[in-house]
Amino acid sequence: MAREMILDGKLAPASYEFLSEWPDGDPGDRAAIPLELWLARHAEGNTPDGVGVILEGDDDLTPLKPLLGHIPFVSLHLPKFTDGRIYSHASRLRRLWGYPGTIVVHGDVLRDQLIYLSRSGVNGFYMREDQDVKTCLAAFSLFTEYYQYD
Amino acid sequence: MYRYTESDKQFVRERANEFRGQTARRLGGELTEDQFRPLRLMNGLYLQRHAYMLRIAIPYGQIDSRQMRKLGLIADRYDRGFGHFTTRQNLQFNWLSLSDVPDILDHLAEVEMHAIQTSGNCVRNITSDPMAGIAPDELLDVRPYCEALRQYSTCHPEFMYLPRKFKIAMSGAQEDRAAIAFHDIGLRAVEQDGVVGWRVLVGGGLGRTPRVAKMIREFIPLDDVQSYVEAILRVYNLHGRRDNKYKARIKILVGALGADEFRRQVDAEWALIQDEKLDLDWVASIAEQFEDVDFDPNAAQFIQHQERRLTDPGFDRWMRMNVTTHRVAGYNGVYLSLKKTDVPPGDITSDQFRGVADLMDRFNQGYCASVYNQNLFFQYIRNEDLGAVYDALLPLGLATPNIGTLQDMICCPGLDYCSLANASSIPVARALNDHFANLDELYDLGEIQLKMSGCINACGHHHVGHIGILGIDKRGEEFYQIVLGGSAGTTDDDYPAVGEIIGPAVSQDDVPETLERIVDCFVENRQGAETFLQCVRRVGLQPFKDFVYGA
Repeated sequence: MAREMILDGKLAPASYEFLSEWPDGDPGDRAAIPLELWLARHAEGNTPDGVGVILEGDDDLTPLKPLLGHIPFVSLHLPKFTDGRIYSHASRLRRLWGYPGTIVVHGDVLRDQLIYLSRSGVNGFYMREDQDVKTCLAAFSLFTEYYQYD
Repeated sequence: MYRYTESDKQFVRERANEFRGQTARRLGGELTEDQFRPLRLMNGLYLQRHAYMLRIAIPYGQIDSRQMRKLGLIADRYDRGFGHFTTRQNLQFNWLSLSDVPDILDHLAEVEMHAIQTSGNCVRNITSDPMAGIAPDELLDVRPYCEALRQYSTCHPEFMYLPRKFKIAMSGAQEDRAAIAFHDIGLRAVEQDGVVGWRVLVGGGLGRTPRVAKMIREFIPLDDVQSYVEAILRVYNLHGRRDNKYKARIKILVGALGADEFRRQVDAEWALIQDEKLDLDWVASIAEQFEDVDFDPNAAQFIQHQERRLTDPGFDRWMRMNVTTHRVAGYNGVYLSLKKTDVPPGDITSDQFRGVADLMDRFNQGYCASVYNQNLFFQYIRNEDLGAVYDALLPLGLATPNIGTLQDMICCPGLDYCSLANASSIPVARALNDHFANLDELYDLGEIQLKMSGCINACGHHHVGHIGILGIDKRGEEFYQIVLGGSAGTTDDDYPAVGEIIGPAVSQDDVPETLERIVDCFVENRQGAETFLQCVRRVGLQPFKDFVYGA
């Protein structure tokens, strides 16, 4: 069976691609590349319009701010589920900068962190391969009360 | 005290229910211990040497009689009949089974209690001046602001996986009884040009790298406190070290960047959110809930307890040591000493839980506070009731007149419970109590804060004891290092300082005698009515070294 992801609270085909370098052919509208590569191509005058950006915890997002209009989706890479930096990236993109596109998380993504990721602004989840994606959906209906962002 | 709204109740139930599911998945093998650990820690659950330990939050140290009785029930049903009050105003149960914890959390939720964020790498229970609301030297009652920040930081989605734990303390009085300079963020209410706001300190802490916090803002307006804290948390979350847990606290980041660069980064983040003001009307509505106490306008007329002091030396001692002044005439604050000489500091039995609950209802408007020095505190005792309160506390073993003396030591559970500890703190505390048992001698010595930790993590705050004792491991044996001259820096003529080591560590048997020599040295060098701390600061460590180790 093809891999599935969670998108906007529902199961969806896992169609995003997280590339480490520029592809040989047309990247299509579901590919993302590392921030450094994205910015390098932009600086060369080849702004990769329509290609997503992969952000790591230690990336500085400042140069991205004026370019968000070119970026269809952002993917946050989570190397270890206890690494909290990408929550601040998601919050900056969504709350502080009002980024309207999809924010996907991939890597060590587990059920018990979904609610925090979601409330920080992430709306697409590539669960770690050993997770049962369907049962993970239960994480979204645990709470009806929150103390932030009312 | 703060009463839960329907939303608060619902949230705490949902959080307990979430943990019930996580516990079931752990017991069923679906969650590995590696995955479960951060989840249980952020719900206050530690795996210790012999059993699970649950740390229950007591926000601002405020507790009501219904909660006190519930703690007695939990102690009997799920623990071994006792609990332990900590230096952060919380309560720990030390002998729990994992499978019982979800039921315990449900019990707690019934009485508006929880264990949320009492551990883990997130914002911990916010501590305050235990005398907030009754202190005569108070500029601002900080409890409503603590509560606003507690709600803000509870399961804040962005800040649940910080590099390390994060502790905030608030104080609004002249005397800082909350040790704010030893917290990740210390907030102190100050007045500037007739306006009350906050002074912001960042990067204090104890543990293996003790640091006094740096002031990064002399003044911010009252309603900016939440956005400023958020800016600090964001800088820390992004830039705090995650490669080495011993270098992950914000004090290390502040030290590495320097206070000026740290402030610059915080201010840059703050600029983006500075318009998100705290709603002061909402804070005022919280404040009303803390003002649910009635004072008897005639309380000051009763002064007969002064006569009893002349004829009853035990009562007189207790009045002298355990009773404090109150901002309302005719009222008193009363410490319940959890430092009876034959029990571990801070321990309380289920009978005491229930006995105290009854006294809370009879004499203290149904309330009680837990305080930093691991004692309990009645905030609203009328002159007229002092004698009856004393008579009722005596048989409960809670009237030992030793507050502020060497016997009133702060102490972590140590090796006897904690898997991190190198050395037992509780037996040493016992031996010291036996050694310094003569109360009149102790009174003559005046205030000496004795603080003991079983390991470098410094849960017993030995760095800020006037005398500090640290348990260390030397080739498999328990040894104890002595530090002198530390202070949490509570008053204007005191200042926060980290104690200094006086020499080689001593064996467990030698600890009481070593302390006796330190005390003898103080007596010999003391000028007039000077306190131990003033004496150490005046003469320096050398005379003490000579007394302890020989010249």
